[in-house]
Amino acid sequence: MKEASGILVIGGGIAGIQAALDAAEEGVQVYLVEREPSIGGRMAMLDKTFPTLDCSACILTPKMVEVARHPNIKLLAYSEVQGGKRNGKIFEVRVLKKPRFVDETKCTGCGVCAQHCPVEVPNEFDVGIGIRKAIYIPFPQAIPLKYTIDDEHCIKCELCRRVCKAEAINFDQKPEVFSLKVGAIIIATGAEIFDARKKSEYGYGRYPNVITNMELERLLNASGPTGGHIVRLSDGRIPRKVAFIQCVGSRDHRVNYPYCSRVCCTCGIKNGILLKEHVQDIDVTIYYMDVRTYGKGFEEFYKRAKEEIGIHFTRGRVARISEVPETRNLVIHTEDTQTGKIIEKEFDMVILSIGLVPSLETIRLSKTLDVPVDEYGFLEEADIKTNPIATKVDGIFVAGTAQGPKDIPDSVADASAAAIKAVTFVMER
Amino acid sequence: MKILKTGRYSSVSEFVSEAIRLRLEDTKDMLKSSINVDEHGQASLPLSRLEQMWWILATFSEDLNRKGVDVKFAPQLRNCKTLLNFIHEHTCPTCDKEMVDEKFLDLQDNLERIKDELISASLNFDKSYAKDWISKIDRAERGELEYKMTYAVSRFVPGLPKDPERGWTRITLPKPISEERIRYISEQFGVITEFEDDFHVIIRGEKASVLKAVQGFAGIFKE
Repeated sequence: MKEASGILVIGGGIAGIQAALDAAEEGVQVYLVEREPSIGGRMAMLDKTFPTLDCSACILTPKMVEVARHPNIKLLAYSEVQGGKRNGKIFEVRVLKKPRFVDETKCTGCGVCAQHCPVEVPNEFDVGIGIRKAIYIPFPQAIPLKYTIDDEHCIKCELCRRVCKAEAINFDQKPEVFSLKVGAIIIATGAEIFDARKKSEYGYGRYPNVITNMELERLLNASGPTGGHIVRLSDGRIPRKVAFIQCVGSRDHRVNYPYCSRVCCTCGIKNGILLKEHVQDIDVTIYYMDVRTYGKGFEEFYKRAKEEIGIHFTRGRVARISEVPETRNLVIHTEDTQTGKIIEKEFDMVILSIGLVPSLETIRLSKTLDVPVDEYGFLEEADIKTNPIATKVDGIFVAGTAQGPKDIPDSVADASAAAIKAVTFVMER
Repeated sequence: MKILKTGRYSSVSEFVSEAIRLRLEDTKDMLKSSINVDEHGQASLPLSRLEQMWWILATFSEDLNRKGVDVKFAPQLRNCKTLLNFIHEHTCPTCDKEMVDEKFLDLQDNLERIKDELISASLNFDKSYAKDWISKIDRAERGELEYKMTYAVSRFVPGLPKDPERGWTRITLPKPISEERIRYISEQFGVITEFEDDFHVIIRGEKASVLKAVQGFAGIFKE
């Protein structure tokens, strides 16, 4: 197949991976560009997926390995789309390949370099609760499993170069810019999570035992920094009384995100169930405005959590959280809107169910590729009802949360649809 | 997930209930090990053999390249290492065992393919050299090599900064250094430094200052 008949997929999360695999299966050359050192996106950070509580990596890793092996997929990880323009029926896209300072043709992924690296920094993949070395892979099942030197923190001690038997360390690597000619583009750049520090009344960043649901995912994960043990960030103690606060950064005009993030309710319920699994006799309360469990089987999941698992649900918007300085416990101040009572309740740990917000990368790309975004910064569809996969630019499609908040099944369905639309588009020209 | 494939549930509700019930039954064993990893986190024999195989093939490939025989197996070896990591990490009862077993066989096949091609390349290069490596590979296949694979482990550190403007770095020193020298770096860059012990220093403060201070340690490694 000619290069110009290929498809560019931007973003290597679950939506980008699925779109790339489906398009490649149709015999089309696919270029999958991911800005991080590994594909996997946010799903790789999750412990279990709802409503069946399947292991997230058990679903994702085989797909990632398939991407790496597929003869029709060219994986361009640690790369970014810098610009692009339409030239007749072809898109000419400029891609920046960032230097890893590790020769990809030589690195076997043995990890000896990381064992010897003397510099440790917070690991972005663990949302800052775990640490990594200055030469690293973000997580053990990373694809591609190429080590990357974090140039900002590397002190050029050259210990890695000395111990690398494959002679793969190369401090002289420079950024490379190259261009791709493709017939269609699928944007699957995902969404970001709300910065909980913007809700200062909840004390995130000030009170160590106020954490977000993404931090909890890493605590719950057996391959996470605590090996799956639930601990308080202040003292490493096991919490016995935990609260979830829903709709943090969602349905909230004060932070300019009035929309519902769609996944947080079911996600909060799922994590409540998992906490019950991990810690015996733990008391879990979920503070909510409305429980919105979209999706097949999700309402049944909620009912079971409430009626059989024993998770308490309290309706009411939490006004603020205060900390008990001696114990670092947290007091939630709220009004139970079903009884009208003002409640003050003490907890060992509070988890903020933060919403999904548009990714800055999507907004940047929208300018680069001239694709319109909606008032919040999610990509605008050609027609929200009849053509939700296409953007307003002919030949550019969207998949997953770059279009708006959605869960994994919807992102995967989007991705398959976008792949078929893109393949049809390049074939029909 | 197995129960999804059976199709024996009359409703979504029944399926979800059963899925949760099964998960909760597994709770007690949640963090226990499975067939591949023992209670100390060490690989059991079948996985250990594959780890040894991977290591000897990676070493073989590096050695051939050093001898000027152009073999390009780094991507395949990396994919095999990802599978090893996947199998090693997925040991809890809630993980899909069928999937892990499938990947185990997949890994074996891939290592076999790399082995065949490396042996073939080495035979063309030098027969006695090839014989030497074949014997090493045989020992790896029997699990007789003195090799224990080290897996990348994330470590929990309480009190890491949540503000992106704040920095935190921990440095392992090659030799103990004086407190005066550390104090000098702290004052020069306006950061807080703490000794964990003689060999470990933590640097905290404004992110930009921490990044500069970290570079101040580079010289110690070159002395």
